[in-house]
Amino acid sequence: EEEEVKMIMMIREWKDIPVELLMQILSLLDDQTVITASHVCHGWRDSISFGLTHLSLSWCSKNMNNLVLSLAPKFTKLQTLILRQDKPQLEDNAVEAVSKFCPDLQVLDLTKSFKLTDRSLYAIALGCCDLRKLNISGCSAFSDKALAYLASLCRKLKVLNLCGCVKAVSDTALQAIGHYCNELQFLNLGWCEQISDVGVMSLAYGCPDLRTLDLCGCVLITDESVIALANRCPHLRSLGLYYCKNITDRAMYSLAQSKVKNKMWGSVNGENDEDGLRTLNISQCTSLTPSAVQAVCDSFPALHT
Amino acid sequence: MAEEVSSQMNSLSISETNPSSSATISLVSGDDIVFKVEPTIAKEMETVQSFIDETDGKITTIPLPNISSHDLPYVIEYCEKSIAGKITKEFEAEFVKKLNNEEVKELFLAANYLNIKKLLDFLSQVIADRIANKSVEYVRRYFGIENDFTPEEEAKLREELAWTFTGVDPDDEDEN
Repeated sequence: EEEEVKMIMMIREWKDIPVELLMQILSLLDDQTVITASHVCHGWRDSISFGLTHLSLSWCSKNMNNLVLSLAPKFTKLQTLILRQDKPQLEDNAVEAVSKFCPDLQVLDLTKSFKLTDRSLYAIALGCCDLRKLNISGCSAFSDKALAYLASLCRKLKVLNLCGCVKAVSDTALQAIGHYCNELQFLNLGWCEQISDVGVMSLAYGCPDLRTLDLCGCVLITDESVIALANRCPHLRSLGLYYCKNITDRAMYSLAQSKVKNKMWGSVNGENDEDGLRTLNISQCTSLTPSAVQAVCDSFPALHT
Repeated sequence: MAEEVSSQMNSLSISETNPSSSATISLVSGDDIVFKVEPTIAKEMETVQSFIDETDGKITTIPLPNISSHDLPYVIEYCEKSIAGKITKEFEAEFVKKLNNEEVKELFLAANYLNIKKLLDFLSQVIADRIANKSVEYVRRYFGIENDFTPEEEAKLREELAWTFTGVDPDDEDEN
């Protein structure tokens, strides 16, 4: 009893407020006020360092690089860091600081970091092995070698957005992803024009849990990619094939049939079958006939095209 | 414990006239004032309820040394509204209007101590609203906290703050 009273007396000093109480208040505030709060006193700074798991600096339209360099060494428990940019600001040294000081990071958004080079990807690969979600869409300077290296070390990735990473997303990189990132559920490969069936098939074989795959603008892929996905990815719910001009009716019929196969497979495992395509984007797939599309719609009543 | 409390109550000489007193719970504030509340009110206060449960309901007088007789009525009022299902935006707005900064802070600590989640969530929001987008100096003053950073540390923090707050307003400086 006495112990408890003592504890409560301590709380009467606001500089000694427990981490969870301070964080309860700060969780209601914007990131700028959180940074302000970390300047109040040593006690608050240490509490925030310990308690802060989520930070977004996307509002920072200037000085984001300096701010990341300054904050990363303090906020070492971050699990989510959102650094989306309109104008590119981030440089490799900031990403290197994040990788060095924030090993618990699970979600990292670097959308439109045009200035970053492979140095950043290597740093993330070595420092943030726990990463579940990575968004590097629009980071056009990364090479496929660096992306393959990242895939080999960040094996827990579930969500990967590579939209517009034209150089990085090659068949070699996709083979590495298919080989190492077996838990992947969401992958955006929009406008990665150089990939072919070889790459997509390694994904289909290596990532059985894939739920959402966007291949819009991947102009080289053919029916073989879609057939492999239909056969190997029973949980696929959303497939984007916008502008994939090589896709023919064969691909549609393979999707329609996958439903039947998966149902049998699902019932063997006693699963309550929530799976099945919900979203399919086939606009600008000019070779498709209405009857093939109708076959897919008949198989998946919940489907929106 | 029980003896201690009842003797304390005797010394207060607060008279008991309520005939259904056996069912009520007595909350004793830090400055030794007794507040009689219905058991349903006590249920809203998890700390109080678990104390009652631990003693199988034998003890119905609960000392709350950290809560003053000034703050306790506010807490009870909020709990009464809560069990009546009458916590509305309007009630909360009226409730908070009556409170100065000091009272908000004290009630926040009281809600935390008594483990009244709804009140704690509500007061967290009140405090958050009062310090949102304010300067470091304002936040220190609000909570009565002294700056304990060295001048060297402060220089670094000022720089960090400048990076945080420029670029938010695009007219701040010219783009090169």
